[in-house]
Amino acid sequence: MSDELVAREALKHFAEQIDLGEIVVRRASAEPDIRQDGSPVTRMMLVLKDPDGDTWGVEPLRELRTVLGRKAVELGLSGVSLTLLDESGPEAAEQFAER
Amino acid sequence: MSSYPIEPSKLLDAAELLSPAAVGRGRPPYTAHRRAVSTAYYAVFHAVSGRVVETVFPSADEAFRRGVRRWIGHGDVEAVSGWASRIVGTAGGVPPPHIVKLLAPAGGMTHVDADTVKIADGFLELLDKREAADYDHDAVFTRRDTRAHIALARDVVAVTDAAQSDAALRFFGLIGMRAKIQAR
Repeated sequence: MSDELVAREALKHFAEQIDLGEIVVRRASAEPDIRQDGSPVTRMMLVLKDPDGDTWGVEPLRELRTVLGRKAVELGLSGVSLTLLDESGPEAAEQFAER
Repeated sequence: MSSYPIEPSKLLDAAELLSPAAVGRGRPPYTAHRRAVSTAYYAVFHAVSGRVVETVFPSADEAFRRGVRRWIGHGDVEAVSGWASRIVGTAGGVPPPHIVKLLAPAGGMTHVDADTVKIADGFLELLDKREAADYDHDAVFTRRDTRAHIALARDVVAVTDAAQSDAALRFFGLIGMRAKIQAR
């Protein structure tokens, strides 16, 4: 297993332990990708506990992005880009069906 | 002068129409979600460009400001946002040494405050999502993620409009210095 794969697995495991109260990560994936400008990025897909209201709060999501971004850097990975899936939405089951 | 300016608040309203809080049953309109995220990004971009010209040309008339505003590019805001975010550690990497010396001199105060970080981080997040919305066929835009990005854009526009700190004004000024005078 390459160092980068080990780091991505560690990031995924770290993400799946996150519980910020309003934001609870149920499942996670992390894949390398290239941005439009050619720079590397770690694309993370997160299944979150459904929000109480319309969507999750701005501040808890800021904290989530910061925590995962810093962890990715600590693990030697490129910056993260998050896609958020609510656990009751159709996309969560589709995206994680074969993982 | 045109009476139809690009207004960040109206762009946010348009994003809300594309992805409203209340929806009926059925498959989510993913194309509308993509357009909503892209529109929310442009609300932030235009809010920032407005503050840039206001900061750099405080006494210029509206026609002059609108002309200069067209010269501000996405890459200009992205570059300065990246410097701010990297200095406080919310983005990975290290800014160029001359930028660190300018914004976070050794033994001196850091000229990046909480509002500036909110603007910079929010801009970078929305730019990334806007590019995915417009170009990435594999990107997924759930309704709640889309709504979260509209809420983020609304928050960043409000912070951008209200920011008066010295750090924020330096941030806007640096974007102005990055922008190139163009033929348009």
